Amino acid sequence: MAGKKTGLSHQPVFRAGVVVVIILTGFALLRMIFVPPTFGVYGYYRASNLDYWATRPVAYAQGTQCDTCHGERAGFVAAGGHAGLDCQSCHGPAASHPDNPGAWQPTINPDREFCARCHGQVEGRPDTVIKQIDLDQHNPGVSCVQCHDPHRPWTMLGTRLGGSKS
Amino acid sequence: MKAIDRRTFISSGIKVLATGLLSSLVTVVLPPATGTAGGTASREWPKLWQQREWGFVVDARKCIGCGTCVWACKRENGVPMDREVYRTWVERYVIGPNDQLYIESPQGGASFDRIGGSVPEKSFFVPKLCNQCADPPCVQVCPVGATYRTGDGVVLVDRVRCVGCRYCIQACPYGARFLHPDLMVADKCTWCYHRISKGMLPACVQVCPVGARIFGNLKDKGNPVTPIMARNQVQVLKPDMGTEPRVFYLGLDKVVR
Amino acid sequence: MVGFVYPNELEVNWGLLIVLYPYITGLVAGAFIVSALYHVFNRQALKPVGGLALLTALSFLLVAPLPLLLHLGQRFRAFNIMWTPNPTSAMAGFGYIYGFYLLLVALEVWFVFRADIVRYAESSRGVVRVFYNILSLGAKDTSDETLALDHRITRWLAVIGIPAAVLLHGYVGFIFGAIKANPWWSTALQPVIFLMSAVVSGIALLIVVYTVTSWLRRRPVDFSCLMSLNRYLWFFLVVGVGLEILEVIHKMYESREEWEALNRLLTDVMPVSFFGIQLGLGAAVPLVLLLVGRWSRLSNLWRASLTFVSGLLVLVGVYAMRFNVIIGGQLVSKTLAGFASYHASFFGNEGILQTVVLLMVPLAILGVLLRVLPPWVEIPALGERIPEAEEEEVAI
Ligand code: HEC
Ligand code: HEC
Ligand code: HEC
Ligand code: HEC
Repeated sequence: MAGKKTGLSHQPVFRAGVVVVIILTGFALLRMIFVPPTFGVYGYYRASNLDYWATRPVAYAQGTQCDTCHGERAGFVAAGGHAGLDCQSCHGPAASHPDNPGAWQPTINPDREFCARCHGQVEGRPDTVIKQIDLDQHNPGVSCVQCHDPHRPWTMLGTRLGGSKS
Repeated sequence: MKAIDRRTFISSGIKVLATGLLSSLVTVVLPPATGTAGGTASREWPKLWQQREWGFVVDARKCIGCGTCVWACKRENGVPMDREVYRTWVERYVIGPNDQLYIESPQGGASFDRIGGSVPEKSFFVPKLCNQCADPPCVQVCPVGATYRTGDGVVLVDRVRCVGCRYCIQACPYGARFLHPDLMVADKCTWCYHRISKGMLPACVQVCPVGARIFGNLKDKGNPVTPIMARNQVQVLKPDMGTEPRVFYLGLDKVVR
Repeated sequence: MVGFVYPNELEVNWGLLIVLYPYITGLVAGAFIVSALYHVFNRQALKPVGGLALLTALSFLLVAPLPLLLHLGQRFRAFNIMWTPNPTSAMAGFGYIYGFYLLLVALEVWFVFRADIVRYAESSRGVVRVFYNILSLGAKDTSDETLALDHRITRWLAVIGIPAAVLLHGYVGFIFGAIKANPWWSTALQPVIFLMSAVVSGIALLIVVYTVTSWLRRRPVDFSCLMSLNRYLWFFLVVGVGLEILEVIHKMYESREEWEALNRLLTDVMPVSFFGIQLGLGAAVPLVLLLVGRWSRLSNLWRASLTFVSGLLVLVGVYAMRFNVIIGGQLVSKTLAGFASYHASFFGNEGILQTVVLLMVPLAILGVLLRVLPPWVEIPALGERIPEAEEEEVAI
């Protein structure tokens, strides 16, 4: 009935123990390799990730940057009903424009729907904050910019800062 | 005789094994060594953080629901335009005659249409974004240390370490997190950390035509946030969650969650 | 979508794969506890399934991380959870708890079957012999003294294994229960509920596996063993379902702001899968059938069949419970003002087909394990290789 007897090194406990220790030490070694270098410098995260976020490219240029070239227009805007609006609220992201203005310019949208995004009558839009028009009632069929200069909305057709690219 | 030999042999063997086991267990369980190998991040972040503490105020009474911020945010941060994921969005609350509540945020509030029909009792817009909680549950639950709160108060996601398990998305009470459809990692509002680190405003704040979003460095004397906080009663979203949100709202209605 | 959900909630982030994860770990924990009932608490009636339970636990345990892995957005980074586990994260423990438990179960299996392995190695030739030799790790000692030591170790491993199984699965409950943002998940009862349903599903699985394997092997089922499983299943089912109902009643009675939404979730959004399948078909019906199955006036065949059917129903019910918790919890919007909608696709990742395959894999592994290490008490399957079959008593 009884089987063979063997020495300690062949004992099941010993063999199993060796395997467990190999697994655990192997794991501990791997872990030393795979924990990234800046992990834990400032907290339980990879510190170099801060640089990643801080150095992402911007799409919207700093608002004042437009003034350096479009100064006249900026002053024009600032003196009218659209004062306080950023150029890029209407023209979209323009960070890649100043570097090479001839090659790429931001978008221009003269549609009625574009103005209506802010001025259309819509439930929830407070009258106290913005003047609203009924898109179907307020001079339908004509582009808003035919009458209102988008850059200074009370400057009506004919008195606009026409044509100038500055 | 043999038995005794064997016993001592076994016991010493077990001792050796146990020491090996313990020492490897200790290395396994200990947190990774802090800041030893391989250098640090390029900037002296703690020094920068000493001069910065970002604050964000949303004036819900001013929001006109134009959606300019929603578009700007997506463009600024490379969030896919045609997918239903948003770092910031605008909700519209319409309260009908019989206290009927209708809430919507079509395409994250990028454009609201007329509803028509009877005139609502009350209706208003509420812009939402990550609250950069002082006690953020998303950071608590991230299994791999891929998300963290910076010293100046912004919660960021490490896109290189995130495994995309989406536990943080579940843990956020505000629905501010999502899985980036292209990168397959968690993504969220960073208050445009790349912009504010360069002295610019977050994109949504910069393009807001009515100044419903106000942002500043609380440690800066002339910042626009401190006076507002000083003169107004401010609220936060879901204060009962104990997350200590850092986006403060003016004019929040009780139905807003 | 009904009402209003946050725009980022439109997509249900945790789908069928995450439903599978607690289901499978639950089966593991439950099966292990059954084996422990025999190995530690010496419930002799369970002897016929003692080894089977262990192998079942192992085969499901091997598959348990697979749904999680497949679900990750970044699968190749899965090991980040081992390199930098966040101490504050409930989920970070998974890698370590799982690793520990796998080691434990593997060791338990090895010590339980070692004498068999040695015997198979000695009585076979060629590749098979090499295979069993490797399996034995070269520990060929089969003296009475060593076998007795093996036996003691087996018991101790099982003793450690019980809290480990409780940890493994109670912990899964904690992953969900500790999410304060989710009103349907967030409760301190969640770990206990998960644990109870785990035990329930494990026992049910063993009833099914034991009956089916006996049938495949054309051997009679050990009736007293089956009835013993019947009683355990009934008891744990009562406790488990009781807790699940208590949880809902508690929430209803407290009627906090989230109750309105939860009420609608249960009555409007998923009444069929909650009341119909989880509580009805998966709990109430088997509770009755199990009782009837214990009625001694019935023929043994009837009683065995009733128990078997109850086992199947409970397996379905527990799956529904996992589904209702995990998917249901995500359907309730954190706005408490609406519900997301969920549709499982058939093909593809998170699809129904994938779930079916993932549930087949452990059964296939079990099939292999049963060939390699037959746990059958009465008849050794590798018959021709075992001249001294009477040693079986010592081995287990
Ligand atoms: C480096 C000087 C410079 C800066 C800075 C600059 N622009 Fe321009 N921009 C130009 C020039 C030059 C043109 C005319 C290009 C042409 O038509 O070839 C132009 C044209 C435009 C146009 C009209 C494009 C068209 O199709 O007619 C818009 C709109 C515009 N800029 C917006 C902006 C905005 C918004 C900013 C701020 C981010 C900005 N610009 C900053 C130089 C500049
Ligand atoms: C209220 C929205 C709005 C704002 C704010 C705005 N623009 Fe415009 N801009 C327009 C529209 C609309 C047009 C197109 C006018 C047209 O087609 O007649 C336009 C046209 C232009 C043009 C092309 C020349 C022209 O007059 O047609 C330039 C250059 C320009 N904008 C620059 C700027 C700059 C620089 C700023 C910031 C100082 C700015 N815009 C702010 C709406 C805006
Ligand atoms: C990004 C939002 C936005 C867009 C787009 C926009 N506006 Fe405005 N507009 C404003 C804000 C803000 C004011 C100042 C608040 C006010 O008093 O109405 C304003 C003021 C005005 C006013 C003066 C109202 C008053 O009496 O004070 C007119 C007229 C006007 N806009 C016309 C237009 C036209 C025409 C367009 C399209 C070219 C346009 N706006 C596009 C935001 C916008
Ligand atoms: C035919 C010329 C014309 C067109 C086209 C036009 N407007 Fe006007 N708009 C006016 C005049 C004139 C007024 C001042 C009298 C009034 O309130 O109607 C005015 C007033 C406004 C006001 C101020 C309303 C108030 O309550 O004080 C806004 C805002 C406005 N327009 C926006 C727009 C928008 C947006 C569009 C394009 C959808 C547009 N307008 C198209 C001529 C025009």
